[in-house]
Amino acid sequence: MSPWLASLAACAGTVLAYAAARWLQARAGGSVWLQPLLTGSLLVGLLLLPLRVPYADYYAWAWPIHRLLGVATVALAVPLAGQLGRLRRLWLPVLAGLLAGNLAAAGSALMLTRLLGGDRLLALSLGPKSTTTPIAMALSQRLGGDPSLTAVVVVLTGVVGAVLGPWLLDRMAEEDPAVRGLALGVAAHGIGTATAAQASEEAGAWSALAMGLSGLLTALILPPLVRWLL
Amino acid sequence: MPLTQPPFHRSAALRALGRHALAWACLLLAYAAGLWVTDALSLPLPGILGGMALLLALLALWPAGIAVLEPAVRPLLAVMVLLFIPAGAKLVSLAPRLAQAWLPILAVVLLSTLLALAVTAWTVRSLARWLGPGAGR
Repeated sequence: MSPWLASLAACAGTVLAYAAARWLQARAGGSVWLQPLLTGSLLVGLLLLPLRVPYADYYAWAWPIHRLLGVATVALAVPLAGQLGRLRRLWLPVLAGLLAGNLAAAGSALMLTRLLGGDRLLALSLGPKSTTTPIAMALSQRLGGDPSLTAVVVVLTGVVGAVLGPWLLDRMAEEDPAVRGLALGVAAHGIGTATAAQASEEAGAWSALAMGLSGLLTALILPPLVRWLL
Repeated sequence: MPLTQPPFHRSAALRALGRHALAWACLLLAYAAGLWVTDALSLPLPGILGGMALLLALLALWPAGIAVLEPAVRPLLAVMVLLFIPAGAKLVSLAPRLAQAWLPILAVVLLSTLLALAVTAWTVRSLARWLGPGAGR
């Protein structure tokens, strides 16, 4: 098969799997457990087995999708720029909260993994788990982790944060939509942001801000944390 | 069905096409510039994050750029999940590794995520309160 045709088939198959995953989630009444990323990935991965296509070949053929993911990550700056006005009024508590939250997320992931007997590769793959998938994968790769393992863990983190986050914030008697949105954005990236946006538009905007800035903050704090803790 | 079809303006369609083309051109330019700058300065960041930071700085200086980029950004971010599927598909070949390390992975994800939520909420709340009423709104 010519490489162009293979790329076309890989991209078309990925789009179809995504459409099927979205349909499945809609059929289940928008269940938070049926994340299209999880079901869609599972569908593609399982489809490769009977087709006898090695995963590495599929991944190489799907290069146009990786390029577009890089472009989409850069595009995250646009909704972030829309929130800069809010940030100017409240910058000190927000930035301090984001810094503390990212330190807690990355530091506890590295330390707990080692404490529970995980190896260095596992710790490096889990370190960026609270940031949004493209950033987490790029950080994991740069630090020497396994980006694919990171992608899976990031989705798991998002689902856990989206399901348990509102419960924990209720427990803390936290009612301010700004604080709730920020906490969900730091701990559970895009999936947390979607949950926050379901509660209110204000919480969603703060959550999107927290998600974007957390990517940048974790990129800056993770390398020194790895040096100190691992 | 409306009784009269809205008139089709070729110039309006061309303008819309031009807006989309301009938005994509600017976005791809920002992407390429970000990769190039990060590499040229050997910044300790993944190149796409350098691109995101660069675009954010440009939009902070020139907020009108947000509206220019929107026609490309909105549809792209709407299908962002689709773009992660090739990486996520490794899940199937990773299954043995996940099965072998499921306990630390699950424990770390649970504890670390709840800790990050609590620390963020507590820090923002205490600082906003300490800075006085009005700062938290």
